[in-house]
Amino acid sequence: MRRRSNTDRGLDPLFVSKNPIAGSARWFRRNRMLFVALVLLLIPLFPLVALADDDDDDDNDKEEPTIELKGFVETSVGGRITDDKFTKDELMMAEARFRLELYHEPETSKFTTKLAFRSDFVIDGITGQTTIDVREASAYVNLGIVDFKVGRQVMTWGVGDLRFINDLFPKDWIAFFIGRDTEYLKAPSNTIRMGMYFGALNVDLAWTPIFTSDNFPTASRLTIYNPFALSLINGQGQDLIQPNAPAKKFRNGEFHLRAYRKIKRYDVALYGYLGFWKEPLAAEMVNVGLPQPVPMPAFSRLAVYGASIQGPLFGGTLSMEGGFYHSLEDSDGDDPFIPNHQVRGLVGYEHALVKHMTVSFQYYMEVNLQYDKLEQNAPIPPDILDDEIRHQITMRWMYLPLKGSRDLILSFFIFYSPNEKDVYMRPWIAYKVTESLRATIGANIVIGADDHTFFGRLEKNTNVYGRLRYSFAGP
Amino acid sequence: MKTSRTLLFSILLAIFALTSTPAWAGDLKNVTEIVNKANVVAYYQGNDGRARVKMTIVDAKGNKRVRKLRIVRKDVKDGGDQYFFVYFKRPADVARTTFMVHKHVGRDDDRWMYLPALDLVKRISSADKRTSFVGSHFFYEDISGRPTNADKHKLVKTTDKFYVIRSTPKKPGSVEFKSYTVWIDKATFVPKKAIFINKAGKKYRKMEATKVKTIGGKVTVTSMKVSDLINGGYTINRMTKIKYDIGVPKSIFAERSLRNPPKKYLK
Repeated sequence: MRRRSNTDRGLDPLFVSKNPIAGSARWFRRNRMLFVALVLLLIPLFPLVALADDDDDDDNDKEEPTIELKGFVETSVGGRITDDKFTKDELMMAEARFRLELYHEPETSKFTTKLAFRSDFVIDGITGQTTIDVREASAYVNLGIVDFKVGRQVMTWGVGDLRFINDLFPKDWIAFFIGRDTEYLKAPSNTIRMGMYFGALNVDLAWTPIFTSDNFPTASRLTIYNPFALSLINGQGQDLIQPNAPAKKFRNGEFHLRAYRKIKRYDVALYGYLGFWKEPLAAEMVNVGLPQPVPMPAFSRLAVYGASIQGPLFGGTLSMEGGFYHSLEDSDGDDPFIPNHQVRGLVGYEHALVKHMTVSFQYYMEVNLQYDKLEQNAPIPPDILDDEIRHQITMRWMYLPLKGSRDLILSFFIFYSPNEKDVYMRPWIAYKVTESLRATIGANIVIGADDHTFFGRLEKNTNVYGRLRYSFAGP
Repeated sequence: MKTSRTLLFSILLAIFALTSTPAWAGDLKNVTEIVNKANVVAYYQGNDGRARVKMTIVDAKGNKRVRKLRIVRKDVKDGGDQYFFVYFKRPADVARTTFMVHKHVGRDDDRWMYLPALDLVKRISSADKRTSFVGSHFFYEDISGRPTNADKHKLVKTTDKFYVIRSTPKKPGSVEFKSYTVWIDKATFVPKKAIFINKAGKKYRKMEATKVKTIGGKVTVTSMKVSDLINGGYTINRMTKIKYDIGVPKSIFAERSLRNPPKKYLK
């Protein structure tokens, strides 16, 4: 197993800056990144020449084309601004993306059918790879009271604001922390989704045959805390946390359920989930050639049952959601390598403060059940054990100073946990230079009193980023 | 001979009855009746309807932005509750975003927005209806209609063409204006012009019906302009492909449509 501890790092010759060869190698490496970043930055400017803005055309009366098209070209660059001695890399994001979206609705059949394709072609300067990130490739058919959407797709439900309780669809936390557009927090999965609409009650059922975990920090790009090593770690391009995915068996798929309706003016829903924890919170003993097997992160089975309600209150919007996390492989709470049951809940309220400025607050809590057994059996020192209850307060502030126009957006989001004493802030500003070209700058700021807490473990990754995106759409 | 004379008389009578110009009936005196008629003409034509909307927003410096959207509406009751469904086409970065309003008279509306890239249905607070609609000079209330009972109305003048009505808010704290004056066409009840006075007593906002057509027998404002009289800048709202009474079912104004917009009604 590759694992570098704090002390290993001190012996790494690349970290001894007095060594001239190592110093110049590092200089080259850093400036090569800078060069790549600059080239990538220029890419969004090309379409400015190639495509004229269609502000003036009067195509609003024309017939619909049979294929709807849209997309963007964007470049993002970002890097850490902390003194992180666990990695040489400062840049965490230097990438260009070409997004293409195609939608087609054949008018031949009796039933409404929709085909959707949405994909990014990515040149990632950090990994040095060119990849295709297919975010949607789906077929939808509406059969009246039942509809189906089959294929690769992004799914979202629940009422939390950047806090998910009953939404157990995959998230990309790495994209979130390095400063990609918020869209990328939601990762796609290959899923069969069925909707049933009975008027009095609607039901959504989603089956993902192959378990799709969150894209959690693996210590490749992000420096994170490893509770087994009791240290921060960073593999600098290598995934240090590589759990085995559950075998591709029918019984290892994910099932998601939502039953919902409107009651008066409130959106009410019940949820169910059967699958695995979305992050490898369990541990299994693995033989890696050392005299003793070592604990490695692993996925364990999970069921979640929950409910939510959202609606108007005193001119604002009230949201409440709760869920019981049933850790299926450790009913007694005494298995040190399997997470305990949890109860998670949130209450949120959003209100306009003044014109074009909204503020929302959210209180979130996570209760570890059978905590006495967790304390007795935990394989990690008690001082880094999670508290019985994790409290978190979030606030979102959003202001559209140009009379409500989204041409200029100022946004600030903060997570604060009073008991874990950590803070995560997401400020960003987006400005539309032209109708099609948007520039965004932002930061991900993490401050934690301890290395082991939920956000504290990410403290070394505090970063700033910038992005240029040129959007286009067909008629 | 007698039969044909009767027929001719019937036709004349029918034409006379169909003519909406009530000039022969004399001017209306009841301000509530005028305001309610104008409200129905402006916001409740037909039982339902759809249109393509192109908004051209020009700021004080002459910078131009274009919004294109498709809108479908269904009335629960003339002058009362309504449903709206909006599908955005432009700008490119918000294309395919959907927006739904359950408009309630006498209480806050219910509004939802759907962001397709995230598959996210978001509930939108709606207490303040006098905020900009998609960054334009129009307010939400200009698009969906201000409840007639929110203001006190006074018929200040009746000219040969217009009823001139001055309205003052019943709750002055909830709005940014002190009063507004509307010129309502006597023949068609189309509000042709409105001028808003701010709390300082200055004219600051003008709304005009710049183009009026008869579509499917219904008087329809097809072009509207709102101007900022203090800072400059204006928005023109042009509607095309308007169709009334297309038989929109109530059921489409639900979450299902936000995620999978019914293109049939959004042409």
